[in-house]
Amino acid sequence: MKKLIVIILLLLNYYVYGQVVDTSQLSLKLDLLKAPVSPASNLLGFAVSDIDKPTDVSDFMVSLQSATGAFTKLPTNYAIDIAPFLLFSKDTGKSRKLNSGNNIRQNLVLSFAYKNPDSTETTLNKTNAYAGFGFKVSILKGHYDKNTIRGFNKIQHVKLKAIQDEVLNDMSKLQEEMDRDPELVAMEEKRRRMFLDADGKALAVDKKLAVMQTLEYKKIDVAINEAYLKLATELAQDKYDDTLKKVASTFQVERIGWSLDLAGGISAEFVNKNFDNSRVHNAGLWISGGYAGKTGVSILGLARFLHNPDQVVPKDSVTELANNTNWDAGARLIYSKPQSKFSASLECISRWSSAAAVGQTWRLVFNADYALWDNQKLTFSFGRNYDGTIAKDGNLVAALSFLTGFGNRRK
Amino acid sequence: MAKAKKAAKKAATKKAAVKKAAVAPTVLNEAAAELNSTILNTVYVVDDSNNEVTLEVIAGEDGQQSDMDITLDNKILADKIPDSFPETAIGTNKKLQRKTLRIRVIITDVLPDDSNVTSLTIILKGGGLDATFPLGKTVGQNGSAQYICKIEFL
Repeated sequence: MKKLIVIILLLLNYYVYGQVVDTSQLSLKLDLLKAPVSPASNLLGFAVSDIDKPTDVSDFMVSLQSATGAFTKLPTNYAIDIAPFLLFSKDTGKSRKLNSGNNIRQNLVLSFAYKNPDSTETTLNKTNAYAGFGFKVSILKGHYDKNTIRGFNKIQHVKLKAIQDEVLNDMSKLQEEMDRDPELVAMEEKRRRMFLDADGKALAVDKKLAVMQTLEYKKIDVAINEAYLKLATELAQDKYDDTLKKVASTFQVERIGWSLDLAGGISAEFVNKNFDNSRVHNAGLWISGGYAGKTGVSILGLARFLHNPDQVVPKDSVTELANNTNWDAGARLIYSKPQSKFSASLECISRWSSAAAVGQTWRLVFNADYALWDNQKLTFSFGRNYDGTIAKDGNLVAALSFLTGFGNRRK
Repeated sequence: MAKAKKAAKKAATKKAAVKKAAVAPTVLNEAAAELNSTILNTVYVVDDSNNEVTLEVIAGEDGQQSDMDITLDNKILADKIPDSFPETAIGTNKKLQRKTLRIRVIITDVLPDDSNVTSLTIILKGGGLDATFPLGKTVGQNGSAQYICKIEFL
């Protein structure tokens, strides 16, 4: 059955050229029943690849500096997602092990976006500026099926271990070299002498502990650690980085069990780019949750609220500017196995619109995709759209595309 | 008289408790923590006693794979072990004096959906003061962090 579908898709394919990011981003386009990863950017129409995702404070500052021309101007188009508890936390101990409380802390993502449309903008008003704020949090994430991980990834574990062993051999040589650095040796000797009395004998324990509390000791300890870090950075060779990343990326597992995601966002429109004159541009709230089973079959439900003030909505035979609020509710049945290249889903969504001419409508779509290679994926979507302008007859082939990418995979 | 003795004893106990509380039970590596670092070069205080010092090293989080080497001067305590190093006696205070502990760990993030924050926690007990040295680094998806640590027993 799978082969038949693939053959049909191959026969009917057409090509879409371009820089493809990763396959998860491709599938996002079809996942209508899913809370957006970055709500603020989603509300202002940013592409997923345009969103900065700093992993540490330095990255964050570089990103901010670059977007604002070294803090001299407002950015033109800027979208950023930050995980505040991971970005600014100094808690690196055992307490970060997963549990329900930490799960939410680890997951919380705040998204910020600012758009100053230029002449190429087609959807937003070019004379205005826009800013958005959003959040996403996974309240329940499910859990990994440990047996599946062990079984499927045994070979990858062995491969990764072999490379890590090589890295450890290199690190051993590196540390030997670092420990021979004359400047470091001198500083360490100075620190060592602080634990000796005038006669060169070791101090008593309480005196040693008192030494460690002195400003002089703390200063030299910081200096030694900075020197050690500098040496490690200068001498380290990253020759295994790409290999490690390649092997690590081959691990494929999915979570099973209950999941619940909550996301929300609001964006403001600044009329004539004047910050004293603003109004709500749009706002949204997404709640999605469901159960993923061991067999690869999962069911997801979604409730969504989207508010668009001053949107063009149909009224009788004409259109008018009015507040348009959509309430969506739906469900999605998914078949997707961790190591399988094939996945399929059937989704049904019902929409209640505040625009009288639109009223209540619905959408039913079947999605299927087959990963040919790492960077290439066949996708197929067929169904009835709730957008009356496109699917007046009630049925349509929504999309059939062969997506292929050139160049390196996004890192 | 007995009542006064009892009160004096109670006061002395209270004073001792206050003195004990004034000494923090844990020493954190402030220098390394401020650097959010994968590097540690510090000192662990030992005395002349025959009390055993224990070492425990906790590497990685859920969804990460680690590999670890530990040496004490030239003696190998752990040779490329894939998990954390359990609490183990590594020698008496007396024997450890002027020796150097070296710990090298590589942690790779293999499950991108889990935390991308790698961490290494070194716990030493039985010396002048029990000490915990937490280190950590956030890596990109499928990224690796290399930890290099050196602790001198003085």
